[in-house]
Amino acid sequence: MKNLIETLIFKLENKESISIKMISDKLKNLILKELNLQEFEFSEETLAKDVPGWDSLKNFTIILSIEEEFGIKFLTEEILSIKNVGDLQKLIDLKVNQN
Amino acid sequence: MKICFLSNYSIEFIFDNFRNKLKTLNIEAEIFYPGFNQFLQQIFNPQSELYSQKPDVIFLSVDVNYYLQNQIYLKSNPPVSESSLNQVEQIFNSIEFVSKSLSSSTIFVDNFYLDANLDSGTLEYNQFELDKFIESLNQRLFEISSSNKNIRVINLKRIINKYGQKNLFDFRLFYLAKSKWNKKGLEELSNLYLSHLKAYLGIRKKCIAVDLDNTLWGGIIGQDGIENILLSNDGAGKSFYDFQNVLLNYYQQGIILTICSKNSENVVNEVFEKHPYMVLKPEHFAVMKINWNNKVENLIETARELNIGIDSIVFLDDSKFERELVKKQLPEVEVPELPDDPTQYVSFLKELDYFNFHKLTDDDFKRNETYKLNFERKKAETSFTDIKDYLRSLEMKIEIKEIDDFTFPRIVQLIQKTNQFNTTTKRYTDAEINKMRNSDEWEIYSFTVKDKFGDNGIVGVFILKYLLDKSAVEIDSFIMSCRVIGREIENAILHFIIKKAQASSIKTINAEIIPTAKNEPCRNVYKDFGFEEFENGKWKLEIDNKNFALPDYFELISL
Repeated sequence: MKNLIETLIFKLENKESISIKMISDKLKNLILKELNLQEFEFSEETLAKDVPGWDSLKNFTIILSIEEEFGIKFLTEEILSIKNVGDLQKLIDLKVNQN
Repeated sequence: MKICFLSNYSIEFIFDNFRNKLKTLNIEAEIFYPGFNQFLQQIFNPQSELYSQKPDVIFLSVDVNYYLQNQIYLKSNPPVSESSLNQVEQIFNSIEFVSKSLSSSTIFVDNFYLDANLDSGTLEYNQFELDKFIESLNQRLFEISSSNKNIRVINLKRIINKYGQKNLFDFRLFYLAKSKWNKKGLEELSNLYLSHLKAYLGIRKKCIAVDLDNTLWGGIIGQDGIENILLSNDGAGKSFYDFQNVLLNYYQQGIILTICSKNSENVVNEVFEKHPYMVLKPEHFAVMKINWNNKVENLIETARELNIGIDSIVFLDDSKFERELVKKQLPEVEVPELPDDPTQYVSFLKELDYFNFHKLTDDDFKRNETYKLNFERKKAETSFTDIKDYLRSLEMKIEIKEIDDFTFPRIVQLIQKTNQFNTTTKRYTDAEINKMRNSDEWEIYSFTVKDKFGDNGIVGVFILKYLLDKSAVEIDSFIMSCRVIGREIENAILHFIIKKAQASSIKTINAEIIPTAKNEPCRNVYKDFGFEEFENGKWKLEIDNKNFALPDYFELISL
């Protein structure tokens, strides 16, 4: 337990290493479920086109599911500004914090 | 089966939801979608995928509002531009075109609604021209569907009225993805299409078994007494009165009603006899299980007495305990979670998607009557020791008739929905049946059964396929309603087929049994008659120069 906390503190202090882990399990699982995928390694840089089945149609169903799951609502311009999974996660965090 | 979606917006958003629903219902269907706004190109191009795929069912969902955007002319009538009118004209042309070009497909067409964003507000105070315009389109749709039998109109407007556009639409999607429907909207749209598909396929429940206390009336009759139960045509008691009216309505559509209640019969009878607001009467119930036995046993007996599968019963009971018990021990029975508040019973019952019909046949109207008669027959049966004496006493008259336009709908219905006595369960569609009617190879017959208790209507179908050299005839399908199972009618029909074959010097009758999870009751029909199994599931009977006697308890009439 102590080790775990130390690791977390280390990661919090060192922002670069935490960035790899920034895609939350909640978001990851939601995307996997919408795309009917067993597993996929997401990073902040992951683009929709890198993920099997993530087309423009799925893009919207994922957005709608995120809104429902996190209890948030995106503006159209926010949806358009998302370039990769990292952007998506940041936007979710921002919206959740605003609530 | 193949289902095609045609639309002028991105209807593919519905597919995941729709596919999941098909899967839960075990409907095997392939969905084919030619792409966004391809419907006109697909319909008017004879070389298109639409015509090479020949889908069984087409859902044509055209949102007319896309053609009306920014073009509202308050001074003209109708208040839309020339180009909008042309586009609308194209929609109707395409509907009629596809109906004729794919005459064997069934085409479901959404009706039209007015997008609230096109509202001109108070300016329209005495005009409503746009509403009138949309209504005129819907009227036209009805006219087309009544003159083209393969077109069926879907009342999309109704779900829009029910839930409201603000709850169903998301305009971010409208601008970014060319579809308005939000998650709730897609769910409701998908449900709507599924209801129609179920009606088309004849997937429905046959029977509603209802509890009494706190279900048909408020309170417990045994404790509260007839004057204190909640049931009236006003106030809170009206919710039960209305609920009974909805059940009566289902009864009139041919859904069987039965009672499954822990009560004393005499106490309940008093309610039936004396309560002024008791809509349902004893004659509406084919079976009444009013006793203190376990409800599971009562439901099993109900199914047996009615000769229906236990999985065709929907059980309505306010008690969570009883519901759980039934769910656990009879998982095949449909047990919806009746709401805690009786004022919600009506809308709840209406929303249960178990009873979808497209058209009602005379037999549907008569069904409850016949089930009731069946019950009396069963009672009579117990007073005979010999089944043959009993059958003789029924004075059965079987009338066999080749298919015609009047028997066609009922024949298709039997083919589509009969599960138990169905030798091969081949679900021929309207179009396939029509094709057979026009072919020398095939003969399709239906039969009615009358007896001293009444007329059962058309209760069976058989389809004969002749070998080209007329050396043998094959019983392609043999279907009989469960209402008349157990009366040896199948043997009388086989006699008819044999006599007919012998008259044309045919020497062999072939037949097939394709086992399904439900067709146990007909598995031995050929074996018991004396057919010989020459291959797994394939049976034959040599009839050359053989004499087969019809049992004396039938009168067989060939029309």
